[in-house]
Amino acid sequence: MSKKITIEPVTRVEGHGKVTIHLDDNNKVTQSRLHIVEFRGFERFVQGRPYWEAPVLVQRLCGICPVSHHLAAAKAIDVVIGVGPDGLSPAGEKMRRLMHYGQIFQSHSLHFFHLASPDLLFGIDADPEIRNVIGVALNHKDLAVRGVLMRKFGQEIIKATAGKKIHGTGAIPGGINKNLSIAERDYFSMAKRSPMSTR
Amino acid sequence: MQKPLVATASLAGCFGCHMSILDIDEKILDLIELVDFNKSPITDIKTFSRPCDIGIIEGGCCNNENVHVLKQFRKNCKILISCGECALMGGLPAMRNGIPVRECLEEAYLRSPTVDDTIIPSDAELPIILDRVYPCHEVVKIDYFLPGCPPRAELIWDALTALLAGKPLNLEYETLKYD
Repeated sequence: MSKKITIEPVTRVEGHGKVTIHLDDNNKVTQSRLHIVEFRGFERFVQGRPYWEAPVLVQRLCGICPVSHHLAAAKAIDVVIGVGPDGLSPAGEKMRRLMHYGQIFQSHSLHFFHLASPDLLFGIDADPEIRNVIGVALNHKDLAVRGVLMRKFGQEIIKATAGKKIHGTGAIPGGINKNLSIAERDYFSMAKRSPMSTR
Repeated sequence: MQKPLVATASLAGCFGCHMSILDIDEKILDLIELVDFNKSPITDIKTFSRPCDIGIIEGGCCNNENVHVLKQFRKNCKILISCGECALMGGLPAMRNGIPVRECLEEAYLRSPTVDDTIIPSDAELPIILDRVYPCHEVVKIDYFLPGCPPRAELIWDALTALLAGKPLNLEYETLKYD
């Protein structure tokens, strides 16, 4: 009889996922499927909303990479109000760019330390009770702390530019609604704040 | 003494609430002194291996798989917490409530400008989309509710530590809001 192997949830990707592998009577794979099935209807329900809501609506597609969606929608509404990509104020352009650097930084830290490192450190056949970020924290505490601090640094950059660590409100039509204060700038530029310099 | 066991799941959410749990940063090391984790995307444990003390649910129910997972959590967890606006009220995905499901599917799969093959996916393996998005407490009994989109990290930490210590949680007025 044909069989099906289900892997759910897929925990080494950022977001929801499921894999099903279909086998025939001889246990040969006939089909492998990656499921990303969470249909929520954003394409339809954002229609008819005030245009300036777009960046805060669509970022809720993903709480791991909200900044990317936030900024993509911001670029779209820039065009709506007649400010093209070259029309942003220098501060607006730099703050949005910094916001996205924070996003890339925290997301890479998350993927490497929280999601992938357990497989690399313990091997993919290790007991799932240990082969996870908590196992890393228990068995490789220094490494776990550095991973946590790296992610925190990225999240703090996002908070300084977008107002919140997750689902911020920074980008508005044509620019940004806050500046980077001198205090914030100095906080991040102090070398000892850098998670890479703990050694 | 065995540590309390915690399980978590993301239903029709965005993983933002799970990210907010991680935003307790260094306190993660304190958290794993206090509790053990069972079924959760944070671990790689896919099925309940033991009954749990606390279940944390992110997201509401937009399809029948969400309902199935939520019922599993209710069965296996002594205390169930709705974490974040989607679990509490359906959240942003509930903006489709009042719009026929077919309209949403057609917009995404047929009319969208970047669509290639114009079919609405239909397969026995796919979950069935519900008529509307249901908050968790309309499907199972929920014991506690943590507001916010997402609930701020400190709130999650305060709630868990209060629960573990058997103390009341002081929900500050400013946390009682969507964003």
